[in-house]
Amino acid sequence: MTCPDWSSLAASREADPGADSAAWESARRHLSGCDRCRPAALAAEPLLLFDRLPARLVDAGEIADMQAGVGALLRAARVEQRSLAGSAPATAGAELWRSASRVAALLGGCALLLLSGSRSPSSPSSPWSPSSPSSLASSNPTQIAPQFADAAHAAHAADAAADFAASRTGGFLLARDPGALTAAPAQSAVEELDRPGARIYELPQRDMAVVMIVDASLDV
Amino acid sequence: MPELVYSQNRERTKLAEQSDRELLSLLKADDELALAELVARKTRPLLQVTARIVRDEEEARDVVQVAFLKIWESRAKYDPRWSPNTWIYRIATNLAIDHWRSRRSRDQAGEPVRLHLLRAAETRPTGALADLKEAEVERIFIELASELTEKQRLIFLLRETEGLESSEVAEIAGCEESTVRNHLFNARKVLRQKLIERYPEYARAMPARASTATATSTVAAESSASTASTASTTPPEARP
Repeated sequence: MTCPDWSSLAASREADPGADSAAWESARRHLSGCDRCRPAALAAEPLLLFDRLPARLVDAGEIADMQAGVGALLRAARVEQRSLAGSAPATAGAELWRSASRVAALLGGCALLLLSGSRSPSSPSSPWSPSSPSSLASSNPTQIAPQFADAAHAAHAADAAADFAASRTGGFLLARDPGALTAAPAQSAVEELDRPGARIYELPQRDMAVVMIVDASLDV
Repeated sequence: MPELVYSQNRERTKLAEQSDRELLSLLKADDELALAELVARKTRPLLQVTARIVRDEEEARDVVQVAFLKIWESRAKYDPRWSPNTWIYRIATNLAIDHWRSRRSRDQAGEPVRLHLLRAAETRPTGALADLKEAEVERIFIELASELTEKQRLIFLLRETEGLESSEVAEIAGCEESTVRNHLFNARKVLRQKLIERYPEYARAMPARASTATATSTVAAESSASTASTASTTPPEARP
């Protein structure tokens, strides 16, 4: 194998500092396996010394640490946002709104109890088709409250209350529509269950679907 | 039989097959698993480049973590027409440079003492090229790169050690490609000179370049000040 002409290669590289020619790249590959032409190469371009800069190695543990660190930062940022929102001075209107939400949630809960045995939960024509997982994840009292406000929509309120209850109890959710989770198993549906080992199983039955969340690391 | 409808591990496996651009699109749809996958992919290159900018492994880790947080927070701004790598590198390197600036101003008073202690504690390389360890090359690089301007260092790192194209480097550094060439030319020149000055044991192995450098400096000294300035800061193809 013949060693490249390092002097001419270095000179042509210097003429165009932005682009390394194919010949230069090929010569560098040659250099990595040829000790004979190393002095000539370094003589032509001393900065080839930095070809021996170590490549940073990252093991799986370090990546896991980084993921955990980023996750912690995300959670901290969310907590900060919530606390900033919470520290805003409450107006009389907001206070009234909150009271109304509480009453509405209570009514919704009662409606759920009354209606739970009387309806087919998986009815395709159901007007209370389950919320999408992402809307579930973002459920909160103030968002749900308007749905409760109209007593004539008690059934709808019951659904929303169930959704709210599910989202507030660590993501344990009894799916009323067997297709709901299968159709869009977005991770936000189990936002509160952000565990790599968690698995969700669905046991379809005639009138209802049983959904099981299995995670050995959960402390229930 | 129960049917498995969701498993985070399964979702992760799917994500591993997505391209960077697809991951960033998923990120825009608030998919945190896509972020975790991005962290898995980009931790190594980002740690490498930020560690060489901030010159501290621990601080580089912090910078990279914050960079990922910033990527998440800015996800809505990402335009799929942009190169994912360029966008990610730009966020991380900007953070690293900001971090380096704030630390430098904080440490400026104690810097000479710190450097003195650092040098006293270090053992110099033996001088034999064959014996030169990678860690020693890293140390030499960090030391010499401190002679570069921030922009020169960033551009040299992205082009020479990360192997990015000039166009990508230009986007990350926020300048024209011709500016990248100028910075690269000057960075190489400074590094060569400092390498020869401070590590003559390696300079001895490089007689051709050392004599070229001497000739260049003689010519520069003989020329007028403005001509010398142009010659030393302008790459050949940009000169009149």
